[in-house]
Amino acid sequence: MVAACLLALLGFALLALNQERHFLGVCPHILPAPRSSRMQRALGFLAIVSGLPLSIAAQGASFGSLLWAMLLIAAAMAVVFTLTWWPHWLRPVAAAARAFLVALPSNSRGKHVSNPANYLP
Amino acid sequence: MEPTFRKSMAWLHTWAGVLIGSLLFAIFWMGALSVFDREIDRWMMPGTRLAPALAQQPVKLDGPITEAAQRLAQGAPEWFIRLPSERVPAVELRWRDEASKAMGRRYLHPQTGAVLEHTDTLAGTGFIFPFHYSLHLKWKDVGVWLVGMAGMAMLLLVVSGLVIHRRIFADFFLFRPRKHLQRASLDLHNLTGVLAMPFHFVSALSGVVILFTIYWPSSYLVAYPQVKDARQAFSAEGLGQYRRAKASNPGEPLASLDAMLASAHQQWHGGRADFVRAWHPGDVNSYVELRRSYADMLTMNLDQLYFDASNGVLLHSFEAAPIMTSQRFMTGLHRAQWDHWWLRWLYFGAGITGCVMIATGLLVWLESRRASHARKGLAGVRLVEALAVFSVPGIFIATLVFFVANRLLPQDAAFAEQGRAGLEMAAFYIAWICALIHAAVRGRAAWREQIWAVGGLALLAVLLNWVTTGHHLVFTLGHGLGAVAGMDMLLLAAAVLAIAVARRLTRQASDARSTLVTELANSTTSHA
Repeated sequence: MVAACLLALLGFALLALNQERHFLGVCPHILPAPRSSRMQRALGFLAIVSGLPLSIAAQGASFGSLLWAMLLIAAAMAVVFTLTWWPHWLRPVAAAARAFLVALPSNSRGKHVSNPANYLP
Repeated sequence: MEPTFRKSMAWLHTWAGVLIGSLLFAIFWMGALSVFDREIDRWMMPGTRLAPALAQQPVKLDGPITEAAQRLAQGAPEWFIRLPSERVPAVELRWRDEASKAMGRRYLHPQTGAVLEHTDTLAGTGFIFPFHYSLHLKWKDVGVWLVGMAGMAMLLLVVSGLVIHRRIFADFFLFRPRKHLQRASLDLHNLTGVLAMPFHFVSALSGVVILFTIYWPSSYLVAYPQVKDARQAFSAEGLGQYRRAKASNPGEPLASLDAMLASAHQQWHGGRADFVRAWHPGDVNSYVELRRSYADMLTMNLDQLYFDASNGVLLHSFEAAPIMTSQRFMTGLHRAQWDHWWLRWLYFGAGITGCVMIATGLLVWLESRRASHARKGLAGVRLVEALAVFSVPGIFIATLVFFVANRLLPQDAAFAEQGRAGLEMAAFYIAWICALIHAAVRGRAAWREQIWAVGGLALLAVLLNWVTTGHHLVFTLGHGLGAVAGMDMLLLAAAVLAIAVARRLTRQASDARSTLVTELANSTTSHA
């Protein structure tokens, strides 16, 4: 259940950091911000959706799916308030996401990818 | 008619929102509180604050509990017992008084059957929850109809809101509290409206579906055209109500209730009864109704068993048909009667997002018109502002006064033919009306002043709970009284939040005043 929570939080954080505005809120010293990447968005959705089977496994089909749907609301809200008041908390997520995308031999990643070490305070 | 679909939806959203916002806020607020109705009951009925662990021990109904029921409900045409649960560790006994037609209620100790100290209050299950769906306007079901209308309006508002929101995905995570009030309110309105939209939509829809027998009586009138009392025919076939008329002859004494519970346990393949009702006790036609618990399932089942009271023979067994079960699924989804703490808190939080959405919606309306109405001399802003203050901080104040009155009134309080429970309700309504008058008189300053009052009253409620029962947070947490501790902690959180907001509003007001004074001083010096 805790894993499903964390996955929902991670998923929404990835989706938010894929937007230039929120990326700059979290890492204001990285200019220009990386372009939004389809891969990161897919990862975000994947994290969110993969919470559903975990939740169902932990709580059964009916309670599990309802709990997952309610968790999504709570997680999205939590990400919003983190972005508003404690954006630096999400820096490790930004760093990890970029590191992962740099490592991928794919052209779906953003153009301006810099050294992920820069993202940490 | 507006030129484009989006514009006409914007018009609908704005005016339906202003018109029905106050009512919707009251319904959402009481609904969010109803999620914790049993916990509010424990707080307001200190005699029933038993350790939840007591509910886990097996309960024997035969013996002291049945004897207490028969003694207290003597002469009543029916009485019923709710078995103890984690949320209500005591046995709840209720009976219908023959003379006054009112329902009596006492809580019994689940092991000894002793009658627990009684507090005459409607509390969460008797006042807050019925307020949520009926507004306590009983005459011709006016309240229920108003709530139904508000539910339909809510569905319209959710859909029209999504239509007029131009940047749903771009602004999905966007909140700018440091910008001016109108911007910050609109951000929060959009956030709560979009992120919690599935919850708002489903709760409004399922809320309307729950009360379909009132809103669409045609559904059963059409199904039973030949029958004289269609409603009763529907209740018997759809909801499984079995009735046997009183014979008015004294019968055998009541057979073992525990044996009936055991038989139900077997019939329901491990499901347990949580509700036991004796019909026409003492009569030769007396019978016992058992209902199955739905604490562990999403759908609120309608499984019932009826036994002959004198010999325990099964008279009737009922299980809902598929279509009724789907209605009961919606009911279960809405009413959250399961023992599931994660979901309970998430429902409460989602209910609060609904409150935030409505309140910020009203704020956006006010802030976007404040300047122009003042310039044109229109009264709209003043009127809507008074209503908004009345319905947002005003209902908080009324609710907190209800809690405070519960702790302050003496056990045997009575005034003007009102018992203690009636006086608590009166305190709620008087406080609410005072908030309206205050809002009408004080205009914009009413926000600040009433939010200060909310902070003060929330602290006072926690303090009074401590003083009158000796149960402070350390005690309640140490003794596993989660309901009381949770209520106290939410009150404290509300107090902190209210005081922080009130301080900010006070600072802004004094800043605005000093700017005005400087400007005035500047203009006088420049004139001189």
